[in-house]
Amino acid sequence: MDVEEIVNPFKEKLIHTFQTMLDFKPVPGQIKYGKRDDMVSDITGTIGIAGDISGTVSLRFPRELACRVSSIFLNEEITTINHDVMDTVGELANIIAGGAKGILVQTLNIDFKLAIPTTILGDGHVLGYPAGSSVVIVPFSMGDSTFYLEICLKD
Amino acid sequence: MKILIIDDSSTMRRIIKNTLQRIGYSDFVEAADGSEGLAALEGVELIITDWNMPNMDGLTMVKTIRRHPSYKTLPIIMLTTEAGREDIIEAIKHGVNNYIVKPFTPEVLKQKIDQTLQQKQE
Repeated sequence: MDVEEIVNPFKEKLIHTFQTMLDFKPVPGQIKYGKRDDMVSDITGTIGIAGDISGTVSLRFPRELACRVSSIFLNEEITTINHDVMDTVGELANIIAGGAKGILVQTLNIDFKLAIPTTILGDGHVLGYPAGSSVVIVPFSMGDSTFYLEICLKD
Repeated sequence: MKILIIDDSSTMRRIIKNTLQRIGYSDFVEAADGSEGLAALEGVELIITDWNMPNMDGLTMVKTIRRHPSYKTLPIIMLTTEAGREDIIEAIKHGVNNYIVKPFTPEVLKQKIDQTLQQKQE
């Protein structure tokens, strides 16, 4: 199966979620395949999926953008990473993975369960994966900042 | 009307609360999982609950509520990321009155609340 067929519902749901809850349409860039050590982030919301496909779905932000997104999400000014920002980033990953699941079940009959989301904080981090995994990264532009949708699927 | 909001995400609870305030509701009680939700049912007239939560998930909580004679008709809306048709059918089968998939708009939340409360009156 073409990996893009699986990744596209996640892209679609990310854009839909940002448009619905943040009133902003992020612009997707070119899909990258494989782990990339040059694409670092400061805060990551990640959620495990298990079923017909298994792996993780992660949303990776620079600090400033995570605060900006959380500010819009909660309708209050947030300038530093706090519990609200960490919760927002995890919840966004959760919403996007759940929405993509709905599309994948309907269109490709691919079903999976979602785990509870986790948030990782650390300046300039990358994510590591076990051998035998396929990694797909979709960069998104939001103003002058970039964040990443990163999907790791077990082969 | 006292509304019980159950979600393990404190951010999502605030967003739901803010949205409910925008559409005219002001009396809320919050819980972070199904167990906390069960302990907060006193005087509640509508429940808005997530599905996937630690300790006790939303569906287990709904099944428990529906076994209790006093809460058989208490209106319950599930507001969740679980968007599969089978998920929705399962939730309704076990006693959820209405279902909203995140992300949601104030318009959708209002429409589903109105619909749910109207069904209870009929």
